[in-house]
Amino acid sequence: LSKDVRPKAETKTQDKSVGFIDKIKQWSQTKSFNPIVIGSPSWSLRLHALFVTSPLVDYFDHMALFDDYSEKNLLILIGPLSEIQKEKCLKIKETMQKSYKTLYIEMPFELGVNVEERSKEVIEELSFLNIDQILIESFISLDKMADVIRKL
Amino acid sequence: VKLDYVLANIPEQAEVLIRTDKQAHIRVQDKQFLDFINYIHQHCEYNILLDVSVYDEDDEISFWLLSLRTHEIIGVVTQRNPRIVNISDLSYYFHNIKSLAFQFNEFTQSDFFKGIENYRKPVESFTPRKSVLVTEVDERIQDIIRINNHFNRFGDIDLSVVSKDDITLELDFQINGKKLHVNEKLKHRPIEEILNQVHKIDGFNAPTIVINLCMALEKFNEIEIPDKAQAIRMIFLEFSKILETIEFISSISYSTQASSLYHSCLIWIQNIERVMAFYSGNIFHLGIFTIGGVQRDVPAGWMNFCYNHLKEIQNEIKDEMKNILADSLWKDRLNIGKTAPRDLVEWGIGSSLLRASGINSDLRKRQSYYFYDEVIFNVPIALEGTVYDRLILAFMECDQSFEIIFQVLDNLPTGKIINDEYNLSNRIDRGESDFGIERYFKDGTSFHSIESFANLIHTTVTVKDHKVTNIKINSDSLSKLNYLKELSREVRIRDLALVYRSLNIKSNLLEI
Repeated sequence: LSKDVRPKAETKTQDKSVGFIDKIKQWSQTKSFNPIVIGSPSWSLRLHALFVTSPLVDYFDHMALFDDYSEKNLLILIGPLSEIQKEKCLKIKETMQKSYKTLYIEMPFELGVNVEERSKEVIEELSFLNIDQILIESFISLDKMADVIRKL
Repeated sequence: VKLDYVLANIPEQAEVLIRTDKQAHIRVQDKQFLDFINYIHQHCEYNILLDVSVYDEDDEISFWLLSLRTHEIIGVVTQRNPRIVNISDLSYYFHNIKSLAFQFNEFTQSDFFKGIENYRKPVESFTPRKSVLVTEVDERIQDIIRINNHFNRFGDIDLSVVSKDDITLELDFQINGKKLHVNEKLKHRPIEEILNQVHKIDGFNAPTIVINLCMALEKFNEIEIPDKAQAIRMIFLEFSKILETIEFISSISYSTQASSLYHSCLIWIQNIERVMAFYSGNIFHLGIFTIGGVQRDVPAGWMNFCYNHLKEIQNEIKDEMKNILADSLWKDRLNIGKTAPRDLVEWGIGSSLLRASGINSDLRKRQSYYFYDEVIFNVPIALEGTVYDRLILAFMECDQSFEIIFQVLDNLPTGKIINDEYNLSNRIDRGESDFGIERYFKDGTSFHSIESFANLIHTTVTVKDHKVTNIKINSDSLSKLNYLKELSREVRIRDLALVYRSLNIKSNLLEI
């Protein structure tokens, strides 16, 4: 019994010594998603709803939805981007943490799009970003998105 | 004035092309065009300009007008003649004509609409001083503000504002998203493929857009739909309406930083989408709606599942509304952004914004389709047109559409779900070689407009030689964005986000 009790007591004393600012530092170092979505508002609402409710995505900071000034570490891009949106990505990239991840999604309105060629084009267009995953399909489900994000 | 009276008194050289129960297409010569539209607008009170569509192959142009009293639609068709018909003559009555006509690329190249090239000004990004159009530089103006984070969380629209003492003097917008040219891409394709592709235009609106397209073709070709299919379509329409209202509530609660309400909205959205996905198998609801009915029957156990979940969510939403009504803080904060009903009519804006400013117009009641005339429901109306009114109206409309769903579920008709002629398995049994549905279609153009919570959605489809040659899907969100320029005058900068979001502008439907 005595062996079991000892470490618990130590941790309690440690917790008291940790201040509020140190807690925030710890919290910022842990792996939690702080995503930003560019492209389609309806998709972003759906994704936010998925993050909040589903147990598939564990590490997600709910209150980060409200502070737009916090550091983002997951960039989700939807659809073919215009040049203004690309510039916006550049600006967001500067404010983001060093270890950020990016996801690119596109649902083209044409049949018979060659996925490999299109993904090469996307990588050339967004060469300033290190894109981790590219999803180009005619219809993409939310579960697939959750799968990809979990792997990231 | 009723449609029969108008058709009895048209000029001699005009001819009636098509006449259905609440619609008529009239062809007019180009010289008479302006006079005829004057006559319809002023004498017959066809106030709202719904849509403008152009057919390049025939060199024709058509205007679709709606009267608020009778809720009947007139389509006026003329030849394109740039010397006689000019946009500046019509923009006096209809402010939204530029935003409707802008959707065509050909317009900017031709002489038909003069001065439209300047309509969408090229704005340099991230250079605030150049991006704002200040016609007269005033000494009193202290700063030019470009609102960054609060608005473009999604990066779709930028608003730039000239302000004085935190009050806006002038506002300008810029659409950042890439134009997808959906309408041009869907031309000359088989109808089943078009129905599939249309699903991804706007997230929560997918059933309304698809059902609208089906209704346009079904009413024109006089195709009968079985009762059960009508009821299932009604359920999906109301579901998407509920999702839109919750999206609206969430966007308002986001900008007022009411975090608990925002989170509960997210959970409602997720739960309701789960109920719908149980039916259809996917979030886009693909493979359900076809011409002539519905392809998938109600799955076993869905009715109970749906009923229990919806009852819970309805009660939670009612409780939230009681909280908001009891708290005077909401009313004080949201007493901004008053809309005048006359402006809304001139800009061609419909649906919930009209109802919030005191006009009793609901297409479900007045121009009832399916079983809406047999279902008991109220149309809530607010008088002042402030943001607070729009929020409370959203809660009340959500409650009404819940009750419509319960009534339909209780009285779900039995029988077939698809018309026999259009059922694929029947056609295989008959030994038909050509499975395209288009060969049943008549030649001509058909138009239909439907009301979602956020906006009016219009579709025009032309069929020639049993092929879809032209398709156009449009909404009133671009004219809403233009109306924001007027509405935002003398509004505090801090409230601009609220006013913008309360107009319920869908960036996906801006330039289709």
